[in-house]
Amino acid sequence: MIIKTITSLNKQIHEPARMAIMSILYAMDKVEFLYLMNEIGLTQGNLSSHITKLETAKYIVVEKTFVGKRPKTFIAATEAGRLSFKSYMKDLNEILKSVI
Amino acid sequence: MSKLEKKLFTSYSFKDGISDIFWGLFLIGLGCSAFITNAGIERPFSLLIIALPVGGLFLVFKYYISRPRLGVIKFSKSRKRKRGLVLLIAVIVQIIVGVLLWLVLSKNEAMENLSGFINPVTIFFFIVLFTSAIAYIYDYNRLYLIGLAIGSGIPLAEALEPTLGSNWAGLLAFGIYGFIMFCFGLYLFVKFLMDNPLNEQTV
Repeated sequence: MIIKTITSLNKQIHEPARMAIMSILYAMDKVEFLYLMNEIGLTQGNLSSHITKLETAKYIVVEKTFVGKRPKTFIAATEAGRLSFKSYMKDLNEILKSVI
Repeated sequence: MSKLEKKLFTSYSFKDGISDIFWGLFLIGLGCSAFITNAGIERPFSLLIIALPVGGLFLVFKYYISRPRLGVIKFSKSRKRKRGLVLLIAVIVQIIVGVLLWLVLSKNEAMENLSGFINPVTIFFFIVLFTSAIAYIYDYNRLYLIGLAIGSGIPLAEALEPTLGSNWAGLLAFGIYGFIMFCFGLYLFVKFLMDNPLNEQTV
């Protein structure tokens, strides 16, 4: 039973960088790209590619705005993203409980 | 998840050391306020002379130094509610203090009855209670210590006044705490600037 849960873990989220992104977005309303980059410690290109994957899965939305003449990119979790992350955390918790 | 939110919030809000520098300067300013008062400027106004530039400096540092390095966050609804509650408490306390100050300045008769209750010990408890409530709601642990420093500074200044005079008693009572806080904040601030250089971000 637990093996099935392990193999069925959400692969879009089950990657350290994307899990970190989703954790932050789950706890916050909206964050700037720069904040995620600093907090997770990824390069711009690396973070962009993870964000694109999560955006394709419709777990997050990317919003580009200008503050004065500076471009700002904000990222927020969608409702589907929040639900998927919650369910992923529940599965992970179940696995940990049965293993440890 | 609430633990993570709390951790992210405290790290985002306080790791730059700006709030510690602010409180340090404010405490040093409180210590110096006796000099201003003795120079002829009444007590609430002498405190304003200190609080306004220090508060302004805090906002400028946060907006122009910290924010461009950390990025912008919109916190969750629960955090916004906590912020609203803190604001509400601060406004209520401001009103209470404002009314008391007005009664003192206008030499109102009501003050005669209240004056027995207003002494360094009750002021200590009032300040510690107020800052602890905000520290608890806002998850700002260092505010407990800051509240103790401000609160204990008043009876300490009173106790030192007969030997040192009001100018130096105030400076000693608040200035030492303020200086320690300022140095700690400065250390965090320099570390923050080294760890977070300006980064022009695009996606």
